[in-house]
Amino acid sequence: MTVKPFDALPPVEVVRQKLGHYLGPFTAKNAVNLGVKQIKAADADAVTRAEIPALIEALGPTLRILLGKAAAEKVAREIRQELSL
Amino acid sequence: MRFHRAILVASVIATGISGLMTAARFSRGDRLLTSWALVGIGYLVAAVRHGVRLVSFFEPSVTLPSNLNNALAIAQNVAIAVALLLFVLAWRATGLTAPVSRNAQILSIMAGIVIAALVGGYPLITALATTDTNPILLVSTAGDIVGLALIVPLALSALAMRGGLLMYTWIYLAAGEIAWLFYDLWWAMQPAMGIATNVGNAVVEAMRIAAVLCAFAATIAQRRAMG
Repeated sequence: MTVKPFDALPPVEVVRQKLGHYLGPFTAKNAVNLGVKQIKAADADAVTRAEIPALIEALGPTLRILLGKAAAEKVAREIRQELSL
Repeated sequence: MRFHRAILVASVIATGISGLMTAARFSRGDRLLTSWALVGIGYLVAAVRHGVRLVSFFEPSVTLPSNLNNALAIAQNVAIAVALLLFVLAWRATGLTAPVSRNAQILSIMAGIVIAALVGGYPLITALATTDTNPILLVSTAGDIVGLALIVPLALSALAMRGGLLMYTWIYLAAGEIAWLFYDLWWAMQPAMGIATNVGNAVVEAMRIAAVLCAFAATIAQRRAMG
């Protein structure tokens, strides 16, 4: 399986993969879908780069529950850095 | 027996300290702060009880007053049972689901509760049949039943997070309770199996140590995931 570098992936896929490192791919996908519903985007794959900060914000509570505030903020920072946001 | 007891004491001390170290990585208001703090406190309380018992092997005059021992046993069992319940409630609060159908989840959780009640309740029924109402046994059994009943929800959370770092935290929490399940089963079946007492007791102690070490592994796995 070829792994694409992050800059070749859609922004939402970067978020899924970053989350997947902690939550596993199934729960990462679920978490992103829940976040997409919260930001009222039509579809996860239609999430634009501009909507990613809102998506990260929506994922915050879930990450905070499982990882705690500091680690959740670190994950959010990593995602933003990866997407140069 | 002393050797196993010494290993048990070392294990519960390490787990208690590691639990508190993990709790310290969370911030005020984080749901799992309380869970990990209770894990740490529960195991340190166990360390006091088992540590005193170990010392008493060498110095019989060193014992805990009965009321204090009972109070510590109750505190230990309540702390761990509540901690595990809080873990499961935290997962529910995320709104995330396990990769099985809702019906399968409900059925498997119900089956887990039934098994927990049967296996965990056996020592209680045995004790009540002999009119022995040891308060430690009652609380320990109640704590056991709660812990065993949470095996399936903990394992389902681990299954949901398979492939991720957090999977290990939850699978070790579930594995610890599975070890306690085998401990209870062995404790119940050992008399009928005709196994030499020292062998039977060694197996029991090994299962107890395995359960504690699974909890220790969970504390490490959580910190690893947090970075």
